[in-house]
Amino acid sequence: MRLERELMRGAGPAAVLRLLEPGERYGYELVELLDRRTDGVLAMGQSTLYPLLYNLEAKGLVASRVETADNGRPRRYYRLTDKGKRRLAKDQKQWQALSVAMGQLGIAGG
Amino acid sequence: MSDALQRTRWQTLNATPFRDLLRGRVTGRLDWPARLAAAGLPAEVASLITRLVRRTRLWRLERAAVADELIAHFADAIAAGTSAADAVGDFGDERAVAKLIRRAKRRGRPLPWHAWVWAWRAAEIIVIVYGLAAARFAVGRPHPTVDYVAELAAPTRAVPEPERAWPLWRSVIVSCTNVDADGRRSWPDVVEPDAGHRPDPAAVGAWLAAHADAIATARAAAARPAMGFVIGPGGSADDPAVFAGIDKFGDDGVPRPPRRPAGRHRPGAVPPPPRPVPRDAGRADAGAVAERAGRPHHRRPGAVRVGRWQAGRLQRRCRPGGRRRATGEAVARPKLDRPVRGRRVGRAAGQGAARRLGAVPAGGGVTADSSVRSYAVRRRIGHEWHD
Repeated sequence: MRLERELMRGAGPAAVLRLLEPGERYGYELVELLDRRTDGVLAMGQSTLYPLLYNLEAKGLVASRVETADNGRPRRYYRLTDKGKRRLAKDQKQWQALSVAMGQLGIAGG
Repeated sequence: MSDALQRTRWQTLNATPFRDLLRGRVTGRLDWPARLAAAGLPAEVASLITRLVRRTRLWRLERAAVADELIAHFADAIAAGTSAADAVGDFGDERAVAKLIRRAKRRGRPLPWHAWVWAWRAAEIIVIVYGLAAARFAVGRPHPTVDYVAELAAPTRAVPEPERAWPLWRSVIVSCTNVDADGRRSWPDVVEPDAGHRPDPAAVGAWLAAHADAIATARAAAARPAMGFVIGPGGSADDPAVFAGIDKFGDDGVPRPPRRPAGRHRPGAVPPPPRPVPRDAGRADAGAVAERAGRPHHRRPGAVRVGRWQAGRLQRRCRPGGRRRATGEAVARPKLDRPVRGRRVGRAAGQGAARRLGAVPAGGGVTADSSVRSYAVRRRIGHEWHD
């Protein structure tokens, strides 16, 4: 199941920030992780991911650096900034509250 | 790979950002087509990346960064076993993606760039609004929906005509005032001019006797309860004979001001407001100045005119000797060949100008006084003057 665009617009940044919390990741890695860890629900192609990453970078939530990979190609790695960490903590609280509220309504949870 | 290696030094230099050149590095990192060719990606993928990057219309450095990221992404996908057709098919609408990437990348540009863009937008808006306003001002015509003159005149029209004083006042004005050739109306001058503006009792008495009926009418008008003056466009549309000169509107729709009666300024009257002086106003003819001062008229073809301030100085200096009218004290004619204050600049030109003005006798051996020197300096720097 894929989320509709409006839902994805709200969930996508939080999901990417969460995946970047442990450490640096590059674009294809993020696509794969999102697909694998959400069973395809939050899977987003490069057409969605890269504009999203550029937006997060413009807002100062993530930072990037280019490093040469093992195969010799330059690869851009993204990491959370302090501002991104604060934003992730805030988003987590909001999503938890939303999840609880939706569960109380019988829409989500058990 | 061979294509990338065949790049000339000039192409590499051209593809190097200026900041790298400042650091002494010829990196050629803006040359993303070469890196794309060197990546060995399938043709459809390479074509997609090329189209997408070009559609973004970003700065060269930004385009290179986007291209590098997409190259790495597709290379990883193909290395992970995804076919080129699936990779291209999963990509989505490249036009929409290019738009999203462009928007996001522009958002991340430095603050001065944003300030510049907003300043331009503000300037464009101002120009557009100004243009629209100018067009509206040039094309539009006023369409007044309220007749304020009628509204103002309504209370007066409500007064019965027998109670209105204005018809009587009008007859008094018509019978007591004079009309000149232009149709302008003025009160007769019964004040003796040379007696310090004091009325001449004999003239005033004669005038009152001649206008006894008008004075009686004026008393009757004063006894009426309301003035009853019905205003109209230009003051009073019904009485152009009385208010000649203000009975018309100008071409611009603004009522013309009433013309002042000719003649000298009457005692007690409000003096006329100062008129704006044009830039070259007050330039007096030197000959006229000399003439007024009782000197021979030296003007000849090509003679100069001087400014008002200079003319005043010349007039004072050309004033003939005589006696003061009030005290009888003898007044000597001012000397023209006194030394001047300040630096002696423009001496030759000043002397020549002074001679032409008739202010200095030929061969007087004078230096330029400040006014003539000022003229000479203005002439030297090409300042406007009249021949």
